Amino acid sequence: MRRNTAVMMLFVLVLASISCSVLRQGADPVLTRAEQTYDVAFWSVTALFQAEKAIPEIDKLVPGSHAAVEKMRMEAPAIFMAGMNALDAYRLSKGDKQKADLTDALAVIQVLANDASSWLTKINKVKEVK
Amino acid sequence: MSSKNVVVAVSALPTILDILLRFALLAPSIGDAYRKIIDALHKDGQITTDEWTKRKAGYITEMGSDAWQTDPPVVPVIPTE
Repeated sequence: MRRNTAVMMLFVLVLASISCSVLRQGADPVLTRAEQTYDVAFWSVTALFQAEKAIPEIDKLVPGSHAAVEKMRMEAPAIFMAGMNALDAYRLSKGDKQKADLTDALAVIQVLANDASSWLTKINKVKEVK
Repeated sequence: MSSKNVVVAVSALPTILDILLRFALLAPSIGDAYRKIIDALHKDGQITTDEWTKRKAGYITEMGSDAWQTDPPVVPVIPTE
């Protein structure tokens, strides 16, 4: 339970650090933070998918997890592709519309990443017990 | 705490997080994906276009990996006489 909480705290700290770390001079803060958010979210979701596949009996150990993760597997590619397209568009033209679209895409990605870290915490707890 | 100290504390935060995450790496359940999260923490500016192109290819490759695939649909067995 203690390590379970520690993993959750690390996720919170990782996300918090994104808004606190120092940028080099001349760096575009919007693009840098967008890339960081995308990267952290993408690999958090991937970590969940890998952890869930590694335990075939996971649904018995964490009820509801398999259905929830399968639903995320169906939704995640389109969500991350939309984020990738928004990042591409912002790289090409840093207008207000591109910035707004990027912010919207990242908001959806963050919701997915939050769900992923929540399920990952539950699955990690079971893996520790096994 | 002076404002200078606050700035220093905030500047040190990524390093502290890095140390914490490196401890987390000792856990057997934590793997490559977590290392990539740590790499993301070290960013202090946007990546180049070439690097972004490579990174996109990496994301797409990962999306095609087994971990990202849904289970095959269960085909109902139709009883035969």
